[in-house]
Amino acid sequence: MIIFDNLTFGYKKAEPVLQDLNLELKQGHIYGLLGQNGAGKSSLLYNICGLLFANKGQCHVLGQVPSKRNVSFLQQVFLLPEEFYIPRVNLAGYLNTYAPFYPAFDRDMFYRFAKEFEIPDTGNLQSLSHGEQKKVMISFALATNAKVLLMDEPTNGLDIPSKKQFRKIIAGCIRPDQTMIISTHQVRDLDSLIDHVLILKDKNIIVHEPVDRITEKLVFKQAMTLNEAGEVIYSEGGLKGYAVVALNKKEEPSRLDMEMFFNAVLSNKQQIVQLFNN
Amino acid sequence: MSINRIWYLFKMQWVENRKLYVLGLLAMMGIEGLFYFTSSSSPNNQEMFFTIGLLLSSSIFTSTILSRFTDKRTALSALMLPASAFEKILVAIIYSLVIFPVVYTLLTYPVMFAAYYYHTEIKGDLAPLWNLSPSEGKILIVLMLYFMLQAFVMFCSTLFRRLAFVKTAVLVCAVLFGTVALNDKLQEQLYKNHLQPNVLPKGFIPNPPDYATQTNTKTIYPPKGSTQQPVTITSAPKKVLLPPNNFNVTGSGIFMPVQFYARNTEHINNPLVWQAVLPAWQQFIFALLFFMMVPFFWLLTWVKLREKTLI
Repeated sequence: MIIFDNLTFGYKKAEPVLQDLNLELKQGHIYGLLGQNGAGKSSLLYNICGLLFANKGQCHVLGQVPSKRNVSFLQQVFLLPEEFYIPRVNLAGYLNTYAPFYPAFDRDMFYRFAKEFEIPDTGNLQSLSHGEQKKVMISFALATNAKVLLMDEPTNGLDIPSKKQFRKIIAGCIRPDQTMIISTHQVRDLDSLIDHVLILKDKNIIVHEPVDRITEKLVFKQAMTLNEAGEVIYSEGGLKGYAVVALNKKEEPSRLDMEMFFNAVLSNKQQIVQLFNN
Repeated sequence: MSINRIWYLFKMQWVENRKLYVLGLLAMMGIEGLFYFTSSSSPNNQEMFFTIGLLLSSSIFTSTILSRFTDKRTALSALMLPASAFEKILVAIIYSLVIFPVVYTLLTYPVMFAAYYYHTEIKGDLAPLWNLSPSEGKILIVLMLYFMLQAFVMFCSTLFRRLAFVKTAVLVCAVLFGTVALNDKLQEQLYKNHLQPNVLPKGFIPNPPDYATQTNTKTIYPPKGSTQQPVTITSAPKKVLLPPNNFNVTGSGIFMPVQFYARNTEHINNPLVWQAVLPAWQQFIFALLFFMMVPFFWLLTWVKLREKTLI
C-alpha cells in the first residue's frame, strides 16, 4: 500500500533528513511512528501524502506517485497535521464545504464521532478550543473513509477522557483496506492501539516490527532488583524497583510499554536492531 | 476536470471569505464614493476613478485568492484538498477576471450615479454621466492592462510566502517604471542596426507620409579674370520625401507597438517629423505576444502550484 524505494529527502540537498529509506507498509494496520524531535517523522508523513518531494528514490502510495497529487490520490489519503487550519464556519458549514470533495465521506459516521467526542455544535469552529477543533478534525478525517490516514500527534491537546474516546473510536472504525500511521510522542496514549511500531532514527527506519514480535523477543516487567530481571537491555529505576526491558528468553507474556521500548532502542540501538534482524 | 469540484471550490472560496469580502467591498465603495463626491463631476474623472479603482482593488483581491497556498498551515489544507491544480487556478481566474469586475461594477456604479446626482441636481454642475464605455482607443489598453496585471499578481501571490501583496506591488511598480525607463534604451538597442541616417528602416512606414518643400540652389562662378559677378540659380520649389537622418524612439509607449519619431535635421527651420509605425502584421504580432503573457503567467502559476511543497 505504501512503498518507499531507496528514498532520500532533505530540506537542503546536502543535509538529508531521510536517507536511502526502504519501507513497505501494508493495509489493515495501525502503525505508530516514533522518533526524537527533528528525526524526520513529519517529513516522512509529508512525503507519503505528496507535500514534500524526494530528492532521490521513489515513494508509491496506493499505486500512485504522491508528488503528482492526483485528485483520486488526494481523495484516498488524508493527513491530520499537528497544527491545522480551520475556517471561520460552523460545523454544518464545514461539512457542506469540505465533505463533497471526498466521495466516500460518511456524514452519519461524522456525527456519530462528533457525538462521542461531545463536540458542541454552536457558533463558528474558530471559537472552539484547540482540543475541540482537533476532535472535529479527527472525526472528519475518519469520516472521509480515506484508505491512508496519517495523523501527526493526534492526541496533543485532547483531554484525558477524549484520549480514551479517541482510542475507542480508532479501534472500532479501522477497516481491513485502510492503513493508519500515527506519529506521536504521547506513546502511552496509543499503546493499546498501535499494532506495528516504526522507529525513525539516524535518517532511517531502524525498527519496523509488529507489537507481537516485539513482545516475543523482549519482555517488559517490573523487578525489585536488576539481577532478577534476566538479560536487561534497558531499565528505569523507581520507587517500586525497576521497570525493565529484557530479552524474553523464557517466552514470558508481557504488555508492550512503548515508551520503555523506545528508550531502549535509543540507548541500545545496535543490540535491538540486531535482535530483530535475526 | 470536474464541474462539481469547480462548483465546490467556488462555494468554499465564498464561504470561507465572505466576511472579508463583504467588508472589503463596503470599504471600497466608501473610498470610491469619497473620490466621486469630492472631485468635480466629469466623465473623464468618473472613468479615471472607476478604472484605477478597478485595477487596484482587483489586484488586491487577486493577490488574496491563492494566498492560502503560501502559509504553511493553510497550504497544507489547500494542497491536500482533493481538486487538481488546474481546477484550483481556474476558480481563481474566474473569481479574478469575471466575478470581481462584475461585482465591482454593480457596487461602484450606483456610487458614481449617486455622486453624479449630487453634483448635477444639488450642486447644479452640468456634466454628463460616464456610460461605462472606455474612451475611444482605450478599451484594448484597459483590457490588456487588466488581464496582464491580474495574471501577474496571481503568479506573484504563489511566489511570495509572506507579505505577498506588498512584494507584488513593489515588483509591479519596479517592472512598470523599469520598463518605462528602459524602454527607449532597449528599443534603441533593438533597432540601432536599422536606424541609419537617411535610410528608412526596412518594414517601417512613415506615418503620416509627410513631404517637405525643397529648393536646390546652384552658384555659377565666372571664369578667372572676368569681371562678372557669380550667379545663383534657384530651382523651382518641389515636394520631396526626405529620408530621416535622426531617429528618436521617445514616441513609443510600453503598451504600444513599437513606434518612434524620426526627423530630418537638415530642415533646421521646419524640421520634418516622421512618425514611423510598424506594419499592421508586426503590430499584431506584438499585441499577440503581449496577450500571450497572460496565459503564460497562468501557466507559470499552475506549474508553481503543482510543484508547491511545504518547504
